[in-house]
Amino acid sequence: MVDPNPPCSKKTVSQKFISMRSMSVATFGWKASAASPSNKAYIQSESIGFYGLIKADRIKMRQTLEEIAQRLNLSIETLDRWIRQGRIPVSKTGEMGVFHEVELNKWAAKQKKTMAVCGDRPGGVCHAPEFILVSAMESGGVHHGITGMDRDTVLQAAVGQVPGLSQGQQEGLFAQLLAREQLTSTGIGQGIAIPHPRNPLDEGIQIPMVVTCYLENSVPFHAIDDLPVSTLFLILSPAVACHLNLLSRLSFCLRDSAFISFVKTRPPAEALLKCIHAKEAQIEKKGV
Amino acid sequence: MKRFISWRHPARLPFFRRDDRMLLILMGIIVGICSGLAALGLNSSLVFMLETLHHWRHYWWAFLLPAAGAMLSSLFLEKAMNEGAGHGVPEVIYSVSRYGGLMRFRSSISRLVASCLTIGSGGSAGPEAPVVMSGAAIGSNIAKFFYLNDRQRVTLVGCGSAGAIAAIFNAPLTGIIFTMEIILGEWSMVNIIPIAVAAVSGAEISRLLRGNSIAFESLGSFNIGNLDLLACLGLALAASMASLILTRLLRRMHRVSAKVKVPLWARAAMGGAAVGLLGFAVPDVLGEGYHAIHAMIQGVFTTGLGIAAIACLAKILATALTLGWGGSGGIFAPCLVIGSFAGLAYHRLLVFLMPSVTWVNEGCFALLGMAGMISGILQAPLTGIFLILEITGSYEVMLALIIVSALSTTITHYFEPASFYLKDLTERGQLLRPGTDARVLADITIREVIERDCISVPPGMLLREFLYVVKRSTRNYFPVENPENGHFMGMVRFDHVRPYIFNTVMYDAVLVEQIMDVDVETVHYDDDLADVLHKMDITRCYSLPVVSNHRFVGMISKATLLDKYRDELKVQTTQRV
Repeated sequence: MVDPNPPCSKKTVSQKFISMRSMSVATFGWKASAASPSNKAYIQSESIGFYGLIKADRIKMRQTLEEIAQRLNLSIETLDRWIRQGRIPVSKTGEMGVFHEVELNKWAAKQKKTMAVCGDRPGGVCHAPEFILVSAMESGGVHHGITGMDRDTVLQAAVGQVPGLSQGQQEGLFAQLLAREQLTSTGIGQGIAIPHPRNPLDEGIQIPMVVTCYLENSVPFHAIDDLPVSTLFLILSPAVACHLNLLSRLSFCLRDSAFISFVKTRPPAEALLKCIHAKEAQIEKKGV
Repeated sequence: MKRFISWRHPARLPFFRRDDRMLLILMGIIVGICSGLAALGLNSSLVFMLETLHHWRHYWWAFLLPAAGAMLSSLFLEKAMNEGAGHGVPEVIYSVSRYGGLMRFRSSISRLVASCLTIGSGGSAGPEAPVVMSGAAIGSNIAKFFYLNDRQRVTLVGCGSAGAIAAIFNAPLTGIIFTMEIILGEWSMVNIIPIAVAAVSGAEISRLLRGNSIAFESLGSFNIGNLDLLACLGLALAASMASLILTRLLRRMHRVSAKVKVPLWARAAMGGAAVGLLGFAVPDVLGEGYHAIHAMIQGVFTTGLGIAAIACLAKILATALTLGWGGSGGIFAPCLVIGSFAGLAYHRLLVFLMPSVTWVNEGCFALLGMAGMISGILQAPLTGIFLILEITGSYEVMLALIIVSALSTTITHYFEPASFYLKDLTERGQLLRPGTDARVLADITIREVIERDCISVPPGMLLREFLYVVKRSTRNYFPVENPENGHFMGMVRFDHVRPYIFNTVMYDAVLVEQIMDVDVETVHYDDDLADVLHKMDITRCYSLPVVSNHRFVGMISKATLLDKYRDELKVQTTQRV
């Protein structure tokens, strides 16, 4: 989404003086905006006050109809009709909509029309879920030779492998992982555990990550089949939706006994990722 | 380049873009003057025709004059202008509500000429509705010329009709009220001011060219006593009866004339000839009849009770014959004449029954009768009140006027729920006043509410694969398409699959075509949303597929529709002040 007003208004101050005398700047502006319709809002300079007093609401904006429709959460047909019927303070010049930012906002407020929310809602939708598991594993990394005598020490060591965490964040994550293990063990059997915090971390994790840890020696993990655990997949994600997505895809892979025996061979990062990629392609195809 | 053409795009000037009220006021002045001129033009040509034809009135074949006039007007409308007969006000109302006031340029003269031929030759009709249509068309075309948007165009259409009424009656207030009450059907600040300005300029043009005169001025003032006020109740009843008879008779005439298998112009000629014959017996029924009103208001109409009552009925019959058989003209002037005849007859009856009581002058009753008749026929009490006030200048009868108008509107409404102008529109479902359900639904098109995120499936798909599709989809509806030609075959609802979801045996045993609905109600791009909703109610569905050219294009659901409906309602009802 574009929030064109504040960053651009400075630019027009300098533009204004050029365009006071010559029309060419305005024409240039026209062409520039027409040539790149998806471009950010372009401020047309001709409507600026005679005395150079720039008020925000006197600045004319140009955006494509698609952008305006998207921003007002309208269908393009409705926007087009409303412009034709004069129900919205936007006028049409070719494919472009011309409006005053402040006026349009005022109108939207009067209609109690919710402007489209920019970015993700907190804990909301996870974008671009295609091959999310592969990219998460790539960013989490594959780590060999994690040492520890029991569950807590291997978790501690695994937390130490998570890239980009400060000391405090590591401690917080460790505490959360332990709390999750208290609830029920995350050892899902056949020597595999998928430790994860119950809630997304407040900070530190920007992108979803799966940290793969091959343990030096198997440790008891209170797993459901009581077998000691030799591989950890530490799942970290910025939002719950991502977490569920990762978990569902990972568990799809782990349902396959061939995959588990492949993991037991402690393959290097490239081989593991290649295998996961193949698995995930299967998921994409089937929509599991 | 842009600056060069900007005089034809005044709405794009920075000054007007922020707030177009000043622009509308300026345009309102122009439109008011133009429509005022049109009204005066019709008026003068009517006078000219009356004077020309006057010499032939006493011949035996004079009854053929109205026939010829009505025939010519019908021929002109049908052949030259390609428009239907009638007074045109419903067309204006429909155009305002459906097409943002878009009207053809030829409409600005077609009704003028046609009604001039009908009325000037002696047909019983009024020039007001034609000038309203003409003024409205002038306003619409000026708006079109300057590339104004629909809302501004509607305002200018209102300006045109207000200017026309204001000019023809020299009554600016009536112009405003008539436009607001009948043409636009909404009272909004944004509209009132330009329309008021247009009405003023229309009236001013009329005063400039014709002089400032009150159309039907009374001699002396009326002193209304308490007994007179009481008598007004009966007068309201009489006026509403007259308006009921007129409405019913007009409709009956329409139906009868439709059964006669002759060309339209021949029908009009037959009606005109009948009116001409009637004119031999009661000469006052011919033409717009303003001369008779003059005489009655001034109290110099000398005939007795019987003649007045007969004249009232004869005028009703003549109007129904003229308009019902294809003549062109409005109902305004005949209403005034009929109303004043009814008022006069009522007064004579009162005097006859109670000779000892001192009643107010008979002109006052004629005047009240007009108000009752107008209010009854148009079901617009304010228009009736203000019109009579302005064309007679008798402000002292205000109380009686309000009583008669209000009562007459109520009584007529009891028998005829829709007014004369709106009746046809209501019957065809074309009365779309702003902010009403019908209007909101009419404005939203199917293209705006269609949802295209449905996943199509082929009929031969296994349930197992179909469940993968269900997992991927966010919708509960799945169109089934013929894989060969892409034709729409039916719908699978998630509800159909629900019983088998957890039964793995069925996964490879059931095909999509076995669970799909085959005879689904579908809708088309061009369907009205009101019809679509009606279909949904009948089939008790919350979603219907849109199918165009045998192909599935999307779904329409009540949930999305509510969202859009609210947006539209808010946009239509929030006034830009």
